[in-house]
Parts: sequence; C-alpha cells; structure tokens
Amino acid sequence: MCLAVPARVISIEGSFAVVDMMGFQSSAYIDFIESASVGDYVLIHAGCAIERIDEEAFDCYNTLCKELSEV
Amino acid sequence: MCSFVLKDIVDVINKRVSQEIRIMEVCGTHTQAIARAGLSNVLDPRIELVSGPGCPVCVTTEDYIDAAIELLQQPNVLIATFGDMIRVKGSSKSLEDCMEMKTRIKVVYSPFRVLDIAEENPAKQTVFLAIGFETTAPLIAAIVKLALQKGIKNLFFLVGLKQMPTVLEKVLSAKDNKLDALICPGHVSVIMGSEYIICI
Repeated sequence: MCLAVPARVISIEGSFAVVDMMGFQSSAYIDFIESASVGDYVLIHAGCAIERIDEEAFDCYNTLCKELSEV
Repeated sequence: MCSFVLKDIVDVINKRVSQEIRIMEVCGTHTQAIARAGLSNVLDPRIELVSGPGCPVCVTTEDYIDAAIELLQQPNVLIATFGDMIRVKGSSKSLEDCMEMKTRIKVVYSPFRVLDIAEENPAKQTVFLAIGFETTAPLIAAIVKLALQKGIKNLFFLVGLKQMPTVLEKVLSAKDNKLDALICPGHVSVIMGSEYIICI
C-alpha cells in the first residue's frame, strides 16, 4: 500500500482524474493538487495524487521504476 | 531525458562508503523493494540494512484485528480493507481465518473504492479499516468529505492511524539501536514537509 507511482493526468472530472501510470489508465483523487490540469505529472499513492512533479522528475521515476522491475 | 540509472546510483553510494554503516529503512515498502531488486547484493558489504517500524500493517495491534473481526461477526457489516491486512493475526485469528464470512470482506487497492461499496450495498454498514501513517490520513479525510457530499450514511471507519515521529523516537531512544542513518519515508514528507522527520 505504500507505493507511489509517477503518472500523467489524462482528464479531470470533479474530484477525480484519469491518469496514465506506466501505460495503464486508472482513476485517482486529484483534489490535493492545486489547480490540477490535463498534462500535469503527479505521484499516485493508493488511488490519490499526492504531489505534482516536473517532467524531469517524472522521467527519473519512470526510468527507476522500469529498471527495478527488470532487475 | 533523465540521466540517472540504477547502476549509477549504486556506484555513487558505494564510492562514498569508508567504514561500516548501519542504515534502517523505515518504511516496509523500502524493505520489500530492496529485497526484490537484490540491492543488498550490489551495495558495499560494509552497508548493513535493517528493517524499521514503518509498515502500518506490521505495527497493527492484535486488539485492532480483534475489533475488526468482532465487527465482521455482525451480519449487516461489510469490512473493506487493504489486502495486506487480511493475514495479520489478532489475538487468536486473522480476517483470512474467517472463511465463513469471507464474502463480506472487500479488498481494495484504492481506499476511494469504499464509497462505491457503500453505495452498492445500502442495506449494509461498510466499515473501512483505516490504517496507515500521515500519508493515509488525508485520504481518509477526503473520503469522509466525499461521503458527506454524496449523502452516504452507511460508511464507517475503524481508525488505526499512527504518527511517524512517535514511532521513530521510540526506535532511536533504544540504547542499543547502533543506527548511523535512516532511510526516511518519502510519502510522509510529501504530506508533512521535509522538516517533519528531521526534527527528531
């Protein structure tokens, strides 16, 4: 349960967003992200976006997640 | 593009090691990730990694599980929980041991799913096992807010939330902990700020 995964916001409807997490689409609570918009990069924890990250951090997280999954 | 790769990070860490060092990974997920990726095998052998108290499931008390099982005895109750909790033992048994009531145990990955479960089962009382640290607490608060907005009245929480500094202070005050460093729980700092753990 304590895993955070980098994701990109695809669409937003009310308090929830559809996010792309490493190729998988999922619903996530988005209200904790101030002025969230489509295209934002976020960290998803237990179905909730907990932090906005920049594109460079998103790339780093993705690279590390991919490498760890291939070890 | 990101220039970091895992090997580079391991090389940087190993080059900095000049003596034996004992590091505690506070979060249980760190322990799992380190084991799964085999990081102990590629890090300098002078780095000793020890598991910490930061897994909310592991630090769940027997009393809490007993209370959840007691609630489950009531036929109008559904228990919604993170999957990790199913096998945790109470004083005599775990939720997994309650086979006869298994259909009333709903495992969720996202806690927000409990809103759907409550709405889909209006004749039942859905109880979410709200465990976790500072990271989970705001999620629970958001669910309460959404439940109020939606007018859901059959959703309840068995609260077992904990605070990380209290737990870490206990570990660090132990006389023989012999710890040189902690790998702190990043999720907690995301919610509370990076100074929150440093103050310990």
